[in-house]
Amino acid sequence: MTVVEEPVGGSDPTRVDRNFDTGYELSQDEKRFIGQHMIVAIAALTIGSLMGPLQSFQFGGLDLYPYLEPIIQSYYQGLTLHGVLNALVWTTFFITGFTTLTTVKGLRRPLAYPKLNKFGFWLMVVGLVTTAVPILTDSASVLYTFYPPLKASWAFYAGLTLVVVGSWIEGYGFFLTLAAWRKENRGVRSPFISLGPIINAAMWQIATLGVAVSILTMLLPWSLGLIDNTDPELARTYFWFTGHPLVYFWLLPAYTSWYGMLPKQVGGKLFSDSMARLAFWMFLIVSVPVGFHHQFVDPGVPETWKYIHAILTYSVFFPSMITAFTVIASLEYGARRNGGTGLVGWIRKLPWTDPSVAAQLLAAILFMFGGIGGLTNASYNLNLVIHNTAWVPGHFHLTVATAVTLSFMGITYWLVPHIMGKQLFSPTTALVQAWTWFVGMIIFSNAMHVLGLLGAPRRSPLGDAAYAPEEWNGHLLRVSIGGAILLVSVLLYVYVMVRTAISKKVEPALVPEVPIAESIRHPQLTPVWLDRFKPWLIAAALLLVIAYGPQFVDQIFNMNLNSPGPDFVPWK
Amino acid sequence: MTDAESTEMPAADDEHFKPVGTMFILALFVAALILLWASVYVILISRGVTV
Repeated sequence: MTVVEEPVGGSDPTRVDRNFDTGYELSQDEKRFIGQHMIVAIAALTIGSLMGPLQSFQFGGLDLYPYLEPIIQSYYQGLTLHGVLNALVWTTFFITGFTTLTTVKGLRRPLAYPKLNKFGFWLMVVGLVTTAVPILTDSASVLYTFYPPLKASWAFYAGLTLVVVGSWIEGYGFFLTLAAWRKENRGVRSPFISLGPIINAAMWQIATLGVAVSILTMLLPWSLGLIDNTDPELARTYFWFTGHPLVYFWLLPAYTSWYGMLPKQVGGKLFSDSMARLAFWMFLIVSVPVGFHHQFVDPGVPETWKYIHAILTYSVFFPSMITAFTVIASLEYGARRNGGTGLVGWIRKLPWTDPSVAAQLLAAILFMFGGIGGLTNASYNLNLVIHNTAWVPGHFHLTVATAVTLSFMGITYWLVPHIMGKQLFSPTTALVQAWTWFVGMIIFSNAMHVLGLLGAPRRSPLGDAAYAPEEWNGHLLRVSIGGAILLVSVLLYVYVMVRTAISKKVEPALVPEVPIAESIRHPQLTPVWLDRFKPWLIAAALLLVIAYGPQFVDQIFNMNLNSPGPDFVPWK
Repeated sequence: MTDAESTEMPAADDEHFKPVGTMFILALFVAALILLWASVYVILISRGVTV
């Protein structure tokens, strides 16, 4: 195999500028644009996170919902706000803003069509407002897993459509920018820091086809009264076509930081540029055709297809292990350069006092347990033990609420000061924030996992459950305690962010830089097939057709429009 | 590996860096994975077998 194709600079590939410490200074307009994303993201996280403890306190017998009427009218309205704002809005706005930064910084050039990206962003904002109105008026308490038979106001579906379309448009802006860069830099490997998030944007375009079809052909016409009923089975299949890769849409920006930024922050280098790219391409291929593992108990999906998707879900384990190996090896490399010794003693030499580093390391530690729980979810037989139980939210609070959210928080500890020309306010408070999130989540998540194993259902106000056996009580209390600690943590985070934002600007030398790690091996030595979209996109399309095609044909041609009629809003 | 041995590692800044600590941590992770997965499997079995 030819390792290097068209090496720029003749026979010495290392003559090409290395893709780190790019020297590209963000313009004020770019900083403002990224900052706008962060404002919406952090505002969504703040409001959404205030809803979370309401549920956890309710579990422990402290029901605060009556005191919040008429603003919050039910447990399910609060739960919908929590899920939509934290899992969809905080993540999507952060990711598009972060990808803007990694694209222009890594490629050392402005966006090819900045107006296109700005149009996409403002479309997302309009969509967010359109979605928020029915949620706040209790007309869309359908949770963030919004499949029928629960029915929301049409504005909920229309708003979400605008958010998704806006994110697509921002994605087009990233693709066109990469294409323009490649024209200017023929034969040069795309910087990983830019390529990784753009692969994620490509995966998002594929993954969101499921909810797009579901909303446009079923949910929106249904909510507008144009059709009387829907097919919940088909709608769930559409939803989970999007719903599982959604997890990787959240995770890959965190992985980008773990692979391409964290090594620099700990004084090391990326252990393998090739492995990083391979993992991202594998995620592009295997993260979408796995949705039926969310439908193991759906009677309308044949067992064979569930089994195929179970196997494909296991295949996600490989890029995950590549990630675990490469990221930890990069950290070990940095720690040993700092004087670390011993089999595990080097861990002490990581810069644990840096809140940005500590937040991401703690996020990664808990994510390892999230991965173990994920394999349990994906196992066809074991899933029967935990399906639709409290185990599931316990699991995804380790993934989206910790691996993703705590990592994103850690990233903002350098990103927000960087784009605002300031220093982080009180790194000590930020460090306490990271640790309180870690501790609070251990207590909360462990209790939820155990409750799931004891049979406690998810999506239920367990504090009111007359059927709750005594053995649940201690764990329900632990959920409340964990939620309280997490509330303190998120308040500390908002405090640090606000105080940073309103602090005075500092000299440029004191402003945190964008940490971009170089790799041990020169990126130009990475095989060219790890830098090309075409083979991976073809493979992704083929696998999708094989894994989903026959079932879509079967479910669409045998559509069963039997969901309840136009007024099915059981939360009221 | 002892501390003394680990300090004899090749200079970190080369392509021959061997991430032995990483391998150890991943081995622990795989062991934890098997243990926790098996514990849920035992719960499944203890609830009775259906055919």
